[in-house]
Amino acid sequence: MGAGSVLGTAPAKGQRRKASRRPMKLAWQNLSYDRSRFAVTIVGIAFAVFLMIFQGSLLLGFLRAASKVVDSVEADLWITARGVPCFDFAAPLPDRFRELALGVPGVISVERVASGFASWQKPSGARQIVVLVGMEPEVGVRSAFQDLRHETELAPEAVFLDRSNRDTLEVTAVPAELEISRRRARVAGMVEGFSSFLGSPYVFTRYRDAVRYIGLGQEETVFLVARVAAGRGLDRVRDRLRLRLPEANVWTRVEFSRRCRVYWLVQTGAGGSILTAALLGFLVGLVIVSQNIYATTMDNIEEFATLKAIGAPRRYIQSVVLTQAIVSGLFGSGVGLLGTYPLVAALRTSIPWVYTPWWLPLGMVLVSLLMCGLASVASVRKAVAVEPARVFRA
Amino acid sequence: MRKPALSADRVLVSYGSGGTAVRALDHVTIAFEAGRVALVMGPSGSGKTTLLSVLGCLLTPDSGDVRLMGEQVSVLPEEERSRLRREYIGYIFQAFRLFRSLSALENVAIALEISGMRGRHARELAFAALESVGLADRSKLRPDELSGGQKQRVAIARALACNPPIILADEPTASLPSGDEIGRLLMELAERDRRLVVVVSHDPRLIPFSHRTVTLQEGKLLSDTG
Repeated sequence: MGAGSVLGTAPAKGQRRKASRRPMKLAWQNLSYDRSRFAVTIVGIAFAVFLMIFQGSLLLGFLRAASKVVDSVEADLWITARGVPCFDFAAPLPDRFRELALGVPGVISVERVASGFASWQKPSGARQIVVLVGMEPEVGVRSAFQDLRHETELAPEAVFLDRSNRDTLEVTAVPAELEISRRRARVAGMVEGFSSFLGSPYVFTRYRDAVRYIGLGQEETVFLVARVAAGRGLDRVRDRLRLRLPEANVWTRVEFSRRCRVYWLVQTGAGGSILTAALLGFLVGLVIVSQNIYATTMDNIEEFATLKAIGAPRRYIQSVVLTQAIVSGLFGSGVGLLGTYPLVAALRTSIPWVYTPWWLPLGMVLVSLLMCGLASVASVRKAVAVEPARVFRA
Repeated sequence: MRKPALSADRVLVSYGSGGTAVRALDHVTIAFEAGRVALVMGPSGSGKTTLLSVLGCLLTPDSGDVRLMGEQVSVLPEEERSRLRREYIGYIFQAFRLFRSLSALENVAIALEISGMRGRHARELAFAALESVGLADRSKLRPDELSGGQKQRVAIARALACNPPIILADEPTASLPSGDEIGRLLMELAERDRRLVVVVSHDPRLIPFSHRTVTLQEGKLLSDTG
């Protein structure tokens, strides 16, 4: 063993000034070397991502379901009885308010929407409380309601229900004859996307039929929905309506939609539980991600001490730790996403209102990567603060 | 008189505080010149490793002055001391301190890469360093596939790869059945290449391969011969 061949070819001092910019390889090899540790990290992050997406889907689904009907009606303004907190818990409104509203400048149409609880008799004889919703034909509706409107216009006593409530309401075939509030009705079809989290399924029908099934008085309605002429100023017309109808509440569609969501989220135990669970899921996910990244760094702390001892600059060590964190985050998020879609899809069979918008997984992955980065900052501090003299301890 | 490559002047290092404080180095003054092998001996707890840590710019003393190539080290910030370690010192650790996920070649190359060498050039130099310690045929193996002696040789190759003027070795023969081979290499590094080699060891087999023997006891310089 001789040292001559090395010493003649070593770099000159001037060449050594610039530190290497390639710590990524060391980071990757650290991770891939201890595969079981890496797998544990990936599983931890994947679980965290899944947890955050799942809880987020429950929360968003709940919020969407809370205002689904309101969002589906193409009205500019909603007029309700005073104090009505949401669509599902409405109170009767004097029908004459319609004429008063029509007299307000800027209002071009006012239509009626009826909503209330009714008793659905199942073929087995059991009864089920449903939320009956009926709209006048002129009420502007969106996508899912389009077919419904045409059908209900044509068919008296026809009702529609969400496909997810088929078993609950014991509808085995369409059409099906049945009774609602001891009156004849006929299931004419199914709609999608209106599953209720209340336990009382939505049932849609014509306005006139809804009035009979709910048992509204002749002088009563439940909601008035108004359209405003273009260029008249929505807020201005709303304010005029409020002045004209002091015994009612007037909301823009966006306001009423938000009111419904806030009511269900904040004022009910169900909403509070889901919100709390979502926040906890988010926090638990963040803690899992942080702990995994921190543990991965601490597993290599002796090697960081060696790096420091042999002269690696702070930036080099930071890059190794950050790269380890980001690579772990990417792999973990990828696995988490792969697992999330089939699991959420499976869950949707029992909780149909679960909703995963495209941006939620993306957002949670970004949050996870951000958390990996932040967790790595904590572990970087540990890594760069490590006492280099510990390398002499056997 | 030649200027010392490395020196410590009234260096004090203590561990703990108050009544339980222990002085690992008690106002030690010592200087080392290039071209020589200095063997630092002493019983366990005498302060050998602490002295090596202080001389290697890895530990800042509580008081006293450390100079490396004439530059006062104790007052420098960590990044500057890191640069000095990179440029002037090669370390040989008792526990090897190899990166377990890297091959022997990569373990040597990483020291070159940290010093700013490009990948391919670094790998060529690393291979040459491994060749020089007789491990060219083991270059692709990871530390857990090497024997204790082979690991020590990889650690030596890593310490030499950047051609540092100072080599600090901590118990370099601890894992080897014979100290002769390492002793001869250290002598060669000092005499032929005009390097300073400071070796901390319990191993008396290294005495014939040193120009100077320093003995520490309870943090103080007990003897300095040669």
